Amino acid sequence: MELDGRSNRKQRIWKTAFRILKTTAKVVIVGIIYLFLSQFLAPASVMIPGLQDMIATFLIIYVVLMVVCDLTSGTILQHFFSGAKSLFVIAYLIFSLNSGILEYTFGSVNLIIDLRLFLVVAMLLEMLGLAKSVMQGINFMNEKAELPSL
Amino acid sequence: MTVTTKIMSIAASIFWIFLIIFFASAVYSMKDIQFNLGQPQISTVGENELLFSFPLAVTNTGFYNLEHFNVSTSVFTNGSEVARGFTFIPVIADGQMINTTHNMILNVSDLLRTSEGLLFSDTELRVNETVSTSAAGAVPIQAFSYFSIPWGAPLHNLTLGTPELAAYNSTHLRVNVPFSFENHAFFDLTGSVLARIYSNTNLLIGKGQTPIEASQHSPYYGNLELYIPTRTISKAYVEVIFATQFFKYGPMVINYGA
Repeated sequence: MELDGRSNRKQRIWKTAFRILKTTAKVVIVGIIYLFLSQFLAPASVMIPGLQDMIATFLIIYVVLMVVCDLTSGTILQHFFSGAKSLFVIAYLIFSLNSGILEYTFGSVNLIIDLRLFLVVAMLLEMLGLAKSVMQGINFMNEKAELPSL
Repeated sequence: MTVTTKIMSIAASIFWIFLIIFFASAVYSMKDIQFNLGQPQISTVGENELLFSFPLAVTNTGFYNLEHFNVSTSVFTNGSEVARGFTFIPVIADGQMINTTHNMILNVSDLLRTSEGLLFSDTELRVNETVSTSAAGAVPIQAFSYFSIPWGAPLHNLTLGTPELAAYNSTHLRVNVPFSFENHAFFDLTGSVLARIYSNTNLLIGKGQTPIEASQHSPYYGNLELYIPTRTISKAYVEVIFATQFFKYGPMVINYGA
């Protein structure tokens, strides 16, 4: 009995350590992508004021939600935060991309970039993520409900 | 269920990666598009039209093809459009450089009808320019700008001198009306100057015509000759009309006499 309890605790510690490691790895990957993207978009950032801040703000909130999601893994909150993450991405894209039409003025030149196709595909992908979170949440609740009866 | 959601997650992640790479590279490669509309060459076409030929150079060193590349220019005076030009290039492949000519036809008669002041004043015509294309067929881009092209007045500094009367023969007098102007326009001015002289009772008492041929960017000095009956005219007025291939202007009225 005592041995079982010890191994359970050990397992839980390992699980938590693995979760933290996984989260750290994800954050590092996102950081690397951010560094790569910011270098890649540096010429665009010169032309588009606030682009760097926009991406940074997005990544900070996204990473926070991702960390919270991973830390609450194994609970219903994980799926809740995962859904929130998808909704946040959809809302942020709509607002930051001005519904897909970006307008900039450089001296006497007015530039319009139409990113509606990107927005639509990104929103569809995030809707897929949202559907996945809902399905996972339902599955989680089902499994929880089935456990006592077993 | 777990397998399905895992597959969904992986598929969504892969799509996300492709989406970000594709759109980021498409937007990034826009900085490698070079577009240059040079100084126009102006020539005369038709009876009263000017052709502005702008050398157009587009260099696409980006990652993707540019599709539906369209350049349009339009000239507005007093709020109405007087000229419009289009150039359409279906595809500019990546790494390709295209040199072509963008043409815009300006109807001088319409322009001068809309803005008569352009006959006498040198100015700048504002040209609105729109460039649109679609990077990789997925990211439409549109740029608006404007520039100016110089307009030279065809009758700059037009001066009509005081009519001078001289005896011609026993029945008629000769009336000389000196006139001068500077043709600052892009075109040679050929036509004629017509004059009619009326008595103070509005009775036509004489008329005359002289041809004009003023090269572009040069001054012109002319003289109108009219013949009127010798009987004494205390007061009269002369109507002067300019009639060229591009415009008809007048009548301008010169009064003379007590």
